[in-house]
Amino acid sequence: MEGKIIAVCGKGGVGKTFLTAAMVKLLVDRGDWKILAIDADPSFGLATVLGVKVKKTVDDIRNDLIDTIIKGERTGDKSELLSRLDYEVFDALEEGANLAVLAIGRPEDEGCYCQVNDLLKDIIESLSKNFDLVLIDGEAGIEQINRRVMKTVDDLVLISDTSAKGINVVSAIKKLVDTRKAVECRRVGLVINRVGSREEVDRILNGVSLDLLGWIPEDDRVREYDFNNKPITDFPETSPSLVAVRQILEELGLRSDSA
Amino acid sequence: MKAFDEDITRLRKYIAQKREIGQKVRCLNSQNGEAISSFSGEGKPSIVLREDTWVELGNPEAASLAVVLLTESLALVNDGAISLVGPDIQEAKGMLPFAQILLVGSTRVKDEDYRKLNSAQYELDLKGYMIKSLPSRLSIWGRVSKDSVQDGLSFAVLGNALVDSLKSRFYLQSLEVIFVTSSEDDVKELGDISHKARRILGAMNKMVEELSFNCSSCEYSDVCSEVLELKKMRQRLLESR
Repeated sequence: MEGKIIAVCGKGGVGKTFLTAAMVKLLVDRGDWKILAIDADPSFGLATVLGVKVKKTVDDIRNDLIDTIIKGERTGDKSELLSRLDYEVFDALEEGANLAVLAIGRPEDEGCYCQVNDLLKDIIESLSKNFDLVLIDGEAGIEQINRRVMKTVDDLVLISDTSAKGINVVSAIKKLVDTRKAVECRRVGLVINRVGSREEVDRILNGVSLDLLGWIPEDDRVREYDFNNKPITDFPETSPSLVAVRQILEELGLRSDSA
Repeated sequence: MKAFDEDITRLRKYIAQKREIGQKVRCLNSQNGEAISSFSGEGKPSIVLREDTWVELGNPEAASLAVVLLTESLALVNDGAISLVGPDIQEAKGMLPFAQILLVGSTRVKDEDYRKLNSAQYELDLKGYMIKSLPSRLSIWGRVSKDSVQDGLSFAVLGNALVDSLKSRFYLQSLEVIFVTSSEDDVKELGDISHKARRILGAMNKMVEELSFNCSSCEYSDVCSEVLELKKMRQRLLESR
């Protein structure tokens, strides 16, 4: 499979991390794909849900380098800098069976270090090419993916709960994408989370111009796992939410079994 | 360049000492071109993930060194020789400390090209062999995949590939490769031998990057005063400003 890249975005608290982690779990369980999960949420939600401890983030690397620049220490020429960042980013990967997790972290100092950001993005993009699938758990603001992770993704999955606020956010993101003010993507789709009934979905779809990829029913087990900080790797595959995520993957052209 | 002649002599003593204390020092056979070409990469850097890894060489938590010692005294280099102190790739699973030392004999390589020569050692494109590097720290991190070990990837292949790669890019009259994997201490012991290389590379990088020639405040003034080639390089850069 040729490295497909999927980013999940939406308002905070609507279930971005659950959806990304569930997709990662189902696809890793296939056993024949190598998955790169990129946690672009500063609170490391995805890493935690996947049971991964983050030792170093891309922003740690960025900030170390910026410190070096501020202190007036040498960073070497561009190829030296690239080697250093490439080495550090690879060292920041948390690797498991068929899965590697990269945490982006939160920049402490925005500053204007475009060259460093661009080099890091190039390295992440180049690293991504070595995986069958890349899944990005985005921050609430979509511009972060574009600025800090990568310029182009294949599928942008916008997720919302059934609240008007959540739907307003995904509609606003869609407008940014249409006007090329955010990450470039080949396809944008909507997932509605914590749905009580199909009628709710129909009602929401009347007001938005987004293709529906699927919907996830309210599932108490998600809240229970979240509350107890249990990793999704133990989540039962027969749970209604995971069954729904499997269907969403198929909608994205991804089978969660290797047959 | 003559700056490293003394270091090469010290390296010979280091190897002899290892032999004396009963360390396994092996001269590896030359590989035919066919053996090396079966590992030809795809033109993009290889990534080897941990679960596919047979052995890691010089992992960030282990001792690591990659250095080129350049000399005009061609007799100091045994052209084509590849030596190994410690276990070979197939013999060690997991993690190994790692030193890769290239002794290069050339009367044609310019002093300024020493930086390029150093970087070139990290640009090996072999299937199933991943290299990450911190050139200014002379640090190399390699991963060898399980598949490539099954296919016969060894230090003999690696050494020969380095010889082929560097000789095809630079005019080198002789090139010898020494790998050390025996212990953390054995790799760290080479720190003294590589000290001057580290300083010379640092000074060259500074000259090229900054074009600042305020010697009174430069941390490399000691090595620049000592190493003739650096003085010459500095002079040439000053004249070209």
